[in-house]
Amino acid sequence: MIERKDVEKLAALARITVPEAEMAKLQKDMGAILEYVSQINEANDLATDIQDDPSSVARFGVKNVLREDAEPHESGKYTDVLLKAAPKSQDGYIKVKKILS
Amino acid sequence: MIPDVTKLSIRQAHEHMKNGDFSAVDLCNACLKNIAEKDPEIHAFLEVFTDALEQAKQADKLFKEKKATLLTGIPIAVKDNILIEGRRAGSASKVLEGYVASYSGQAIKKLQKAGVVFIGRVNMDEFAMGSSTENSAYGPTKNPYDLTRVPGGSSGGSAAAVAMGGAIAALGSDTAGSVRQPAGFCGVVGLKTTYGTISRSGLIALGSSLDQIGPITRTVDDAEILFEAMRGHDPLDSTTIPDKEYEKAQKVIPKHLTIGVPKSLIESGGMDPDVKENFDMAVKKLQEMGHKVVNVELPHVKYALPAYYIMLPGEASSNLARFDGMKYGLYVSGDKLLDDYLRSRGQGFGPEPRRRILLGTYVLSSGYYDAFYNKSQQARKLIAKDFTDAWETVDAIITPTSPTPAFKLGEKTSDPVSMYLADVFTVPSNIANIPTIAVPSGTVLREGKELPVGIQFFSPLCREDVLFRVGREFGGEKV
Repeated sequence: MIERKDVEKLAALARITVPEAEMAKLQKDMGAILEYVSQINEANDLATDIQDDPSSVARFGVKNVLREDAEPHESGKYTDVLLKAAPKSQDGYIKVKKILS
Repeated sequence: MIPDVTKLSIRQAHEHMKNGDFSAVDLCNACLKNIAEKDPEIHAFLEVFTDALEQAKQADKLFKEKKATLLTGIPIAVKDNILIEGRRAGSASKVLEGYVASYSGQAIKKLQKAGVVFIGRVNMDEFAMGSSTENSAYGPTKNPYDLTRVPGGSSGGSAAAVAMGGAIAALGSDTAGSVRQPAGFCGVVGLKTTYGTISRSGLIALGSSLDQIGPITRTVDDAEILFEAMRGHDPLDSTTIPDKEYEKAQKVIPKHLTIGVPKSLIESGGMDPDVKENFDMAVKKLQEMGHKVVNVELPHVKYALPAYYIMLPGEASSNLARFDGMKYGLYVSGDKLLDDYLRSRGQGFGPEPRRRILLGTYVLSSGYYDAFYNKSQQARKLIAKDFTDAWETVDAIITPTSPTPAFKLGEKTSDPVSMYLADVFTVPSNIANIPTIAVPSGTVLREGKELPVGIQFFSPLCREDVLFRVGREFGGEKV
């Protein structure tokens, strides 16, 4: 159901390396999981477009919540503590390798 | 007196501290002693906080100044995915190796204000992905009732810590049953609250539309105390329910409830015969208490588990994209920037997160999105509606917490689908956003050992009060 090249492609998309020793098992497991969840495609009653149930979550108003664009914190207040967590930093910035080669 | 932490509830410990029978320092020391004796085998704790006694001294000061709350001086263990400013947090993953939290979540701040003692951070499945705590990058936790068995997961460290007396209560997080299933396996109480009642600020995200922080406690009363202390709207979590809306949902609870049993779900769940018998006895007990038990149909709940294992990897793969070796945690250098990403993520994430990241990438990719992710969202709406319809005729619904008692270490690790099936009765609550409590319902005998099993009560949105009432009554606590 899922081929080795599919796993390789997904890994590239997800920016993650898969150890060679794990490849066969991963391919098998993903196949089994996809087969299991595919039963949802056999459900005819899921074929139609279903409206939000007004009495469930939507009762509390599912909507975009935007914070007031006001009262910003003092500039630089959290810079040090956040930079301290970064593996590499320099002059108040997170340091990464060159993006364009 | 010397406090017996394996028996004390929050309220009892509070009374003793108030009366001066023992101090918060004594209580903390009793927990530390249990941890020192039992944890080398159980491995619930990833870290015992070196300042726990210092926190307890502060709590004793509050008692002296008559400023103590019900929670002052209560030792609480915290799951490794909940941030406390200045302390390590890592979701039991190597990808967060060395990470120190730069802020505290709202639930933590509220408990700090109440004067609790954070005693340590406890083990879990890596990024809360699992049902056994075997997916921790730091080794599995064992079940205190039988060291050859799992404590459940993903909050296995939290449940084991409470069961062994390493803390009076613990915080976990529940995305598909991660608070309730380990509570059931370890003979304690686990509460998953209405989505949006406890802020997710400071909780390392797994599936953002499903995650809730929840208490693991010895009594239903304790679960309520912690819930009341942690709940409330938070501007830092825009999905929290406004307090006024929550109050508006409250109604009087009838003395005798009508409780629904979803027979077809239970029959399809792969039930262990002893657990089924235990469940039938629990139903009978509720009837004897005067409650009416009826069958209830939840026709779409059969899709809950497959729908979950589509939407969850989708959300998790997006949430876990932030761990790239640049901003925090593990960094593994490569030739180019892209190699830095590939290596940091490749070496930082364990097998289960890697599996779910790839699955999530698959179900969200163009061409598969409609077949998988969209279908799962449609199923989610139908499942929510099943429950809404059920509340027309019943006040609460009951199921076993898990189809089996605690399984053996290693029993399900080679087959991820069999591990996923352990969530069959817990996952519907997260899909439908409704509150559910898992309470102990006795034991079953396995290889000469008494293993705890649990039952769950489900209630309508924001009706945690129903769960506390019926849960107390079922467990013989003061109503």
